[in-house]
Order: sequence, then C-alpha cells, then structure tokens
Amino acid sequence: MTLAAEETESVISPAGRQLRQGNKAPRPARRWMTLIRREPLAAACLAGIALLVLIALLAPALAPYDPNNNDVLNRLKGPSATFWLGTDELGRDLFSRLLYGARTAVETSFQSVGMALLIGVPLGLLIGYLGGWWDRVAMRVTDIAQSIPSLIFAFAVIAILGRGVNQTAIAVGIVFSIIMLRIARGLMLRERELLYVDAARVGGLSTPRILFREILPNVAGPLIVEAALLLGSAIMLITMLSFLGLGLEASTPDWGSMLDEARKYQVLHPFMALPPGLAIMAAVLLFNFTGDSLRDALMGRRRVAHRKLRQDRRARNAPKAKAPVQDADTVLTVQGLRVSYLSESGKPMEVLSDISLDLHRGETVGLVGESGSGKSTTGMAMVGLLPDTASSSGHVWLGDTDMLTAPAAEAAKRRGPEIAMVFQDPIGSLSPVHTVGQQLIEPMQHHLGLGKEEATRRVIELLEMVGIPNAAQRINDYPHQFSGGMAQRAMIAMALSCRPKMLVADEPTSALDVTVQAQVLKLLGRLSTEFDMAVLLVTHDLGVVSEACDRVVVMYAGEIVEVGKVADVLAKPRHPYTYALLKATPRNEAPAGRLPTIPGTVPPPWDFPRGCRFAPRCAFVKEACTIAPVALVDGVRCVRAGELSLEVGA
Amino acid sequence: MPRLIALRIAMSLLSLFLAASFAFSLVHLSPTDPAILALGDGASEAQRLKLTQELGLDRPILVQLATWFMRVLGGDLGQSIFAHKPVTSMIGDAIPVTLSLLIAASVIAVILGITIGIYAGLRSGSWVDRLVTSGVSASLAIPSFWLALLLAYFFAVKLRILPVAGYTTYAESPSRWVIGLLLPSFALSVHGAAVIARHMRGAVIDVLDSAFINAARARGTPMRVVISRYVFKNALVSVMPIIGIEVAVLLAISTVIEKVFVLPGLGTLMVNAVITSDFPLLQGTILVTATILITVNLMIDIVMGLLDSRIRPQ
Amino acid sequence: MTALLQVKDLAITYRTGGSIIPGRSRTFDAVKGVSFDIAAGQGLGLVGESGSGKTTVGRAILRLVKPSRGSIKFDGQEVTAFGSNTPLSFRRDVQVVFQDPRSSLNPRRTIRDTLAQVIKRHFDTPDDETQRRAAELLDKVQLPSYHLDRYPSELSGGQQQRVAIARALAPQPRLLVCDEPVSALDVSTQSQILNLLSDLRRDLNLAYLFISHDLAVVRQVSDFVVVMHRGAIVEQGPCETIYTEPQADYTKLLLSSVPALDAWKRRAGLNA
Ligand SMILES: Nc1ncnc2c1ncn2[C@@H]1O[C@H](COP(=O)(O)OP(=O)(O)O)[C@@H](O)[C@H]1O
Ligand code: SF4
Ligand SMILES: [Mg+2]
Repeated sequence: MTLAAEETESVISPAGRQLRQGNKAPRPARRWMTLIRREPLAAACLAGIALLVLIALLAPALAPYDPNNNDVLNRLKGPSATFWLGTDELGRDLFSRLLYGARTAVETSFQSVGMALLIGVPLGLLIGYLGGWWDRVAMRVTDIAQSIPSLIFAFAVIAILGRGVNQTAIAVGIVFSIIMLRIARGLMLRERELLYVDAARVGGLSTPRILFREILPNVAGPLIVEAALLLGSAIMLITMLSFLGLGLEASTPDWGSMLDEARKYQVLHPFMALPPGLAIMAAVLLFNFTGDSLRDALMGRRRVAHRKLRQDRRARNAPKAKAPVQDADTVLTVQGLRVSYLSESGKPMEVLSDISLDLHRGETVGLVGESGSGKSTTGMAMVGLLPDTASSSGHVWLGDTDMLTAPAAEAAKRRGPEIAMVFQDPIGSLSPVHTVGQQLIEPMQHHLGLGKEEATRRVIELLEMVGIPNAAQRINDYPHQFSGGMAQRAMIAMALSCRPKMLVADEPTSALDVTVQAQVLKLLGRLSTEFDMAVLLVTHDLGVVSEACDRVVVMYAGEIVEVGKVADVLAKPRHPYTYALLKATPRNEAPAGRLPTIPGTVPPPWDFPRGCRFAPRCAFVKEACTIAPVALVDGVRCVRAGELSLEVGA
Repeated sequence: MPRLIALRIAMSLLSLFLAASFAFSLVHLSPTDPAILALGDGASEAQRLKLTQELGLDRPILVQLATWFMRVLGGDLGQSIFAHKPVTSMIGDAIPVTLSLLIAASVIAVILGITIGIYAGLRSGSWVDRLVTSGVSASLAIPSFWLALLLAYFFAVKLRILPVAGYTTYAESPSRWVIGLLLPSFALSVHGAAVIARHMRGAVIDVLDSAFINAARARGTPMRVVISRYVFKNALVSVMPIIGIEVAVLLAISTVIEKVFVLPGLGTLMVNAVITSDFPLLQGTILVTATILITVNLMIDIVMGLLDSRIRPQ
Repeated sequence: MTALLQVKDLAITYRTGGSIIPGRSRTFDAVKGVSFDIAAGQGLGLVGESGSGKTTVGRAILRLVKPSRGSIKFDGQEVTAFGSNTPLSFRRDVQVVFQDPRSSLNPRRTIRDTLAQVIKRHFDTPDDETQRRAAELLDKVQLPSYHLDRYPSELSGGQQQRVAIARALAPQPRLLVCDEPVSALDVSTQSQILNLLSDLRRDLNLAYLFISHDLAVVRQVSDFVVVMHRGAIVEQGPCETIYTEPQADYTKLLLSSVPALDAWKRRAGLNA
C-alpha cells in the first residue's frame, strides 16, 4: 500500500485555508491584503501615518501664512477666524507653525529611524550571526551607550555637531542605531538557533545569502514593529531637545519649541500650550499604536480570554445533577464528558466527545493515543482544571463532587487530599524562583493544616521514600538544580503527600531518558499498591502501558475507541485502530522487512469525519462505517467489532 | 550571593570606566580644538598655546586619558568655562535636586506601575483591563514636559495650591521641599508608571499561563495564595530589569521637568553646558549621570540575585 | 575497503557561561574521544540518552560545530581542515535531516522555493529543469506535487519531515545525517518515515548516520550501532550483536529499560 496517497489530507489551520484559496500560494501582496482585512486597527494606523506624511508634504499649500511671518501688531492673540489657533510672541500664525511643525517632525524622525535601519540593522544582524568575540566586544561598547540615557547621549552628540535639523536627526539616529543594533542582534541570536539556518548552511548557501535571503525576511516583521515604535520615540526625543533649546535653530517651526514659547506665556496665554502638545501626543500615539497592532498581527493575535478567577458563576448556573451510586472501590466516575475549545476563528471545536470511564482503587489505567487525541484534556477535566477557553458538559464525579462544575474553592480543596496530578515537565511544574521545599510542603500546609516544620519533616521523609538522596539538603535547592528524573520523583512525592485516592499522571516519563523512565514507572507501580490508589497513566507509548498498567483506554480523535484489560487488549485488540497502533509501535526486535504503518494522520478537531472517525485510515472500512457516529458498545467503538478477528502475531 | 555581588561590582566598575572614557573622548571628538573648547571662543592664540601645554594636549591620547583619570579620581572635574567655578562644586549643588526628584518619581512610578499592572493582568480582557491598557498607551504618548506644563497651569496658576516653580532645599524648609517636589515628581513619574504597568501586566499574564501555576492549582493551592506567592514574585523578577531601564529614562526626562519647574538640577547644568559648549561641565555631568545609573543597575542586579537563584553564579 | 566517513578521536568542548575575562569562562566536554567508521551505503545507528553527545557528533560531521581535537575524514578528505569556507562538493555529499521538521524549514518559503534554492545552488540548472527536479524530489518522498506551493505551516509534521528529506536529497548526497528524524512524530507517522528512509537508502545507496535515543527505532534501520554515554563511546558493533549480546553494563541497562510491548505477558506470569 502506498503511504502518501492517503496522507494528502493536510493539517492546515482554518486561517491557513482561508489564505490558500485554490492552489495559489499567498504572495506577499495578497498577504498584506488579508492582514488589512483581519487587522483593521493596523490598517487604520498605517492610514494615519500616510495622512501625517501628507500633511507634512503639503504644509506649504495648507498653511494660511508663512510660519516665520512676524506680525507684531497681532502678537499673542487667541484663536480667531484670521488666526485659527492664535499667534505667538512675534505674531506668527500658530496654525501655520503647527503644520510646518509636522513637516519638521516627520522629516527628523524618518531621517533618524532610517539611519538606524541602515546602520543598526545590518551591523546587528552580522554581529549576532558571527557571535563569539565580535559579539562580546560589540555588546560591551554598546553597553556604554546603554548606561547613558538616549536623550543625554543626544546632548553629547549635539555638543559636538552643533544645532540644526540635520544634526538633531543624526544625533537621534546614532542613539537609535545602537538600539536597533541590539534589537537586530537579539533577533538574530534567536533565529540562529532555528534549524532552518543550519539546514541552509548544510545546503551550501553562502553567508550573505543566508543572512539576507533566509533570515532577514523572518526578522523583518519584528524590525518593522520596532521601527514604528522608534518613530514615536524620535518625535518625543526631538521635541524634547528643541523644548530644551538644544535641537533645532530657533526659526525652524517645531512643536517642541512652540511648547517652550507657550511655557513662557503660561499665565498670560495658556491656550498656546494645547495645540503643539496635542500634536505631539497624537503623532506618538499613532506610531505606538502602529507598532503594537503590527506586533499583534504578526504574532497572530492571541485573544486573551477574560480570566475567570472565580468559576462559581458557571457552577451556579449548571443544573444540579446527582452523583451516581458508586461501589466502594470506585474512586472517580466520568460520565458523558464533552469538551470544546474556542478555535482561533472563535468557533467552538469539540475535542472530547462522550467520554465515560470509571477508575477503581488500586488499579493503574493507561490512557493511550497519539498527540491531539485528547488525553491531556481528559486528565485536566478530571482534576477540574480545564482552561477558561474550554466549555464542557457531562460529569466528573469524585465521590459526590462534580469536579467539572464544583466552585473553584471547593474543587481546590479536593485536589491534594483526594485527587492529585503530575505533569510531563516536572521542572516546568515548579516555580523557578521558589525553593523546591517551599512548594512541596504546600499541600500539607493547606490541606492537612500542618505547620511549616512538621510539613518539612514529612516532605523529607516522602522524598527519601521516592529515592531522592540527601533530601534534607535538596529541599533548599531551586528547581533548575534538579535533574528531570529527580524532579519527577519529587513531584510524585508531593502529589502523594496528602494520600490522595487517585493520581492523574500526564505523560510523566515522556520527557525522561529510558533508564530513568524505567525507574519512575517502577516507583509509580510500587506507590499505587502501597497507597491503594487509582492511577490514570496518560501515555502515547503502548510499551509503557504494557509495562505499567492493569487496564487500558485507547483514545482516537477525541473518543474512547477501546477499553479493556491490558492483557486482553494487547493480545487481541478488538478495534482496528488499537490493532494498527500495536503493529506500528516499533518493537525491540530484529527488523523483519517493512514496518507496518497507519496511513495518513490524525485529523484535527475541525476535520473529524462524520461517521467512524478512524474510517479514512482504517484498513477494514466499509460503507456502513461512514454513515453515522459509532457508539461505544461493550468496550469497543467499531461497527465491525463483532466480525473482525484481529490477531497480533507474536 | 557574595560572588554575585563581587562580580556585579566588577562589571559596574568596568562600565563606569567605559562611560568615563566616553566622557573624556567628547572633547577630542569635537572638531574644535580642545584648548579653544576649554578657554571659550574669545581666547587668544597665546592663551591657547599655553593651555595646550598645561593640559598636555600635545601629548599622546592615552597619556592624556590617564592624567584625566587621575584628576577625576582625585575629585577634580576641571573649571566650568562659563561659570568660572569648579565643576565639582556646581554638580555638588545640583545633585540633591535631581536625586530628590528622581527618587521620588521612581518610587511613585514603581508603586503605581506594579499595582496597576498586577490589577489589570489578573483581569486581562475585562473592561478594567481595557481601560488600564488605554490609559497606559495614552500616558506613554503624553510628552512629559507638556504634562508638566498642564499640571503647573492647573495646580499653580488656576488653583494656586502648589508653587509654580523654584526649589527649596531640605535644609531651608523640609515642608516646602516636599511641596515643591510634588508636582515635578508626579509629572516625571507618569511615564515610568505607564511603562512598568505595561510590562507588569504582560508578565502577570504570561506567568498565569505557565505550567507551574497550573501545577500549583493542581495541588489544591488556593488561587489567592497562587497569586500572592507565585504570580507576584515571578512577574516581579521579569519586570526588575525594566525598572532599571526606566530609571535611566526618568533621569533623562528630568531635564525637561527641571526646565518647566525651574529646578537647578543636573539637567539644567547639562543643558547649559551644551548651549554654551562648556565641555568640562558637560563631561562632569555625563560622568555623574552615568555613575548614578550604573549604581541603580547594580542595586537592581543584586535584588535580582536575591529574588532569582538562576542568575547567581554557581 | 576504505570507509566513506572516518571519525577518529573526536573531542568537542562547549563554552558555557560567556565571561569576557579570558580564562574565566567555564567549559563542558560534550564529546570525548569518539571514533567510528561508516562505509558507503551503510546505516550506522548512534544511540544514547539525552546529553550523551550524539547530536554534537552529528553537528561536527556537518561542520556546524568545531571539534577541539580529532579528525573527521570524508572520502579520504580531512573535513576539519577545510577552513572557514566549506567546499560545495562536501556540502553536496553530506546532508542532514533534523529532529524538528517545523523549525528546520524556513517558514517564509514555499516548498518549491526551499527545494529550488538548493537545486540551483548545486547544479545551476535552468529554471524549468529546476522545477522538474523539485517535483521529482517530492515524488521521491511520496508527496503529491501540489504541495510544492504550500508553506511549511500548512503541512503536518510527517509531511514537513518528508519535505526536509527531499531537501536533503536534492544535492544527491552520499551520506545522510539523520538527527532524531522521527522523535517528534507520532507512532503512526514514525513508521511511514522510517520505511521511506529505508527505501531511499536501498534505491540511492545512501549511507546513514542515524542518531536516536530510541533503541527500538535504531534497531530497525542500522547495520552497525554505536552506544554513547556522557560524551564517550561505551560500545560499538554490528547491530544484532549489540542488541542480543551487549557487553557493556550501560548497554545492558539501556536495553533492559526499553518498555516492552509484551511486558504484560511477563507480568501476568508474575501475578498468576
Ligand atoms: N488550551 C487549548 N485551546 C485550544 N485547543 C486546545 C487547547 N488544549 C488542547 N487543545 C486541542 O485539543 C485537542 C486535544 O488536545 P490534548 O488534550 O492536549 O491531546 P493529547 O494530550 O492527547 O495530545 C487537540 O486538537 C489540541 O490542539
Ligand atoms: S467502524 Fe469501520 S472504519 Fe471504523 S474502525 Fe471499525 S471497521 Fe474501521
Ligand atoms: Mg498531552
């Protein structure tokens, strides 16, 4: 069977689809168009900048008077029909000066930022790319400039070059070049780590080509953002300089010096301060907004959902359901759990459908499936910690508490003494700026009401039990001083510190080396017996299931497709997916020809097939499979379960 | 920790050395003859030659740098050309003004910024957050000197409850010292508060998203503790460097604030030095500015070391 | 027969923690005295746990890091003596497939651009010939040609890895360094890529340096296996010998730690 033909069902995001209508690639111009359509704010800002530039260019045509035309008879007049914004101490028309001021502002700020782009960016990229001594020396040198604020650095340059429009632009340009150099270098350092740069080198491309053709397009976005923000700073700096009487010659119409004049007539003629101040503010705001909205657009705006600190509201609105009658052994019951996330386009997509499951004391249940099948979401639902962007229905009964709808404080009380969780990345699960001990004693303080000393003593005991040498000293260490394996042991110790009835372990060994994995699995097995708890072991590795679990739940595309005793399921799977997964898992055996594969890939949640979700990849698919969703009957979700005989050869 | 402090002090001394070299080089970067710069425009050729000899301007540049350093280390920053006074004493008079202003404004900025940032970050997406975010954007775009003018007009000219301008030393009258600083330091603090609030908000949102917050909640730690213990400290650690940068920015902005409120501080000296091409004074003020900022950053580095073990050398 | 690649006594030291004071920076010996050979068309598996120095060895062969000692000979030529400009002929002969297909493709280039760039660089072909070859390469990695005008972000992980393989094949190399090429992929995709790599090796007589932490995977694709631990080789030998009669204690530990699919049988026996 050819593998690729079926793999054509590509995994592209909905946004990506929108972009790629037909078979045409999105060319840059098209991309900008879509950007404008999707980012009206950014587009508006760009339009605003265009307007500002236009005013600057057309100032001579727009201004009613020569900005330097003295008219002593009409000095310090308020706004009137003749002089729209009034006049200054020399009787010059303030409106005309304001328009010409825009010209000065645009000219000087574009000049200085242009200079920064021309000098700072190439130098920064080069230094970042070369690294080593080049980098260290350049950074030291630019550090001097960093220890002196931009404005004061500009003072020094003006002291040397003298005053004037060009001098001011150059002064600010030098300061900005240094800033841009550092930014470009930072971007390059980050980009250099990406493998495509290595791939380009291995591909034999020359250094300039790699720098300008490969890397520059990738850092151009962030650089443009910085340039927009610098334009704002430039206007601020330049007006400050001329306010101080340092920047431009007195005759140059400029917002900063207009404010300086206004300062002198603060008492007599306070209105004078308003127009130039507002003009500066508007221009800076414009550039800042442009920068920010471009940044958001580039990053693919992350809509931060309103973070609910209290989930009580949801709980109050949910209809009261009654806990099912559980036998003494049952620790947790999942009933008809459904979870949807808000997709980027704002539509909900269901990632978990109709999950039902019981967990019993003393058993270890493997939850297995490929990435994206919904394992982690199931685990988080069990501890009542679905993200705020998720909506859910169904129940997760822990005793008679529904963890899905219980008030936050209520659910928090259960986590620790009744249910606990460990994660894939143990070091990331610990706050980097608190000692491990500080965090480990927390559950015992909150749930068992122990004092600090007693809790610490018990934590040390627990750590010794999970095999951490020197526990008494190690609790004063910070997470980054732990190895992955040791940290995971510590996390397990903490999870068990309040003797929970159930432990959810989400890929607890996936980030660990095999030898360490074997130890941690052994530890988990020992502890589950010792504490007589239910363990849900989430993993993508059937080998781990085989080594460590009593029962197994196989998930595919948000559904449970098969449940059963490990010995039964692994010996004689009943679902074609389980069977295919088993066959595809590399065995530590001598190679025997081609490896069995599953054609295609797991579909994304917005692309789940209507009927059996595995149908497009299933070797046993029949017409009947694709008509309607398939129910989980007797532990297997397959219309052909009865007729198929899926033997796994030894 | 002692190693970190020693290391940081060494780094600071290096920065200080580099900044001082920069200040020294100013005179030589200028196209005008340093002797003329030192004497002012009206000097005669004979005076020029004499001074060139005296200052050793005809000697190799490194020798000049060394002599200049010896002088500076001995506390001699030269004579101001314009004021005909020792630069050291002029700076000595100006430093209390600028430092009081800078410290007051920084404290206000840090307290306001952190409080507002946390408040908005914890409620990201809500209307409060949107209000704060817009307020911050606006504050970042307001030119501080314009804000200062408006404040001065409103409180001093209109309401007449605060002095318009001028500086009273603490020794003269502590209460008037405080009252005189109220408006300037508030006007100065707005930019800092906005920047710090913005970063603090972002940091809080990022920290709330991180795995260890999830893990802390998974072990049943009440949200209130999660926030006060983990969110606060982690967000603070990532905002500390911003505070350092912002103090430098405030020091720069203080020059315009000093001008609006007619405060005889470092900024005023510096501006006068540039206008009158008073290079000894300019060198002195830049050196002092750099020293202040390097010290601030040293303190921040040390606080960072206390907060975050990852940056302590092993 | 002389080997295609000869690595002798290779050692690589990384600087950690940049100090500007000379002599004060710390160093870390990532690779210590590693030697092995790869014959033309041979598949050599390099296994070890994270941090054992596998990737660093691969990167030294690709001239992406500088060895501090030792020699790397490719086709009799001393690779470490090339100086700052790597000859194009070497770049043609030795290619790479990285672990993370997402970051190994330039996000701003279409698949067509990515492939055409390498083809043009090495063969200086006219445009239509370049296009033809690009389509041919995609076909070799069993991707339909309409993927040519897509961006990497529009492909699944497995498809991205196929493109990365196509790019590596573009200069018609003799040695392919595969650094954990399937570790970021799901089981079902993993075996697709492993099969593809085996097919290509047979069809093109490619030699592989196959770097992986997954012993079961390495066993499927290697003729010869080198086991590394903490920067040094603990054992090397023909693949099946290493797996069936490991000599070094560390190799034994590694092998016994691999979770076995049929472990349930053993456990059932224990429980009964
Ligand atoms: N916070 C989230 N927001 C939106 N989608 C998510 C979120 N977390 C997971 N998903 C999506 O939900 C599906 C199931 O994910 P997950 O539960 O992490 O699966 P697994 O653990 O099996 O890899 C995937 O399609 C994933 O992309
Ligand atoms: S229902 Fe049909 S398509 Fe689905 S797994 Fe069963 S046989 Fe395959
Ligand atoms: Mg997961």
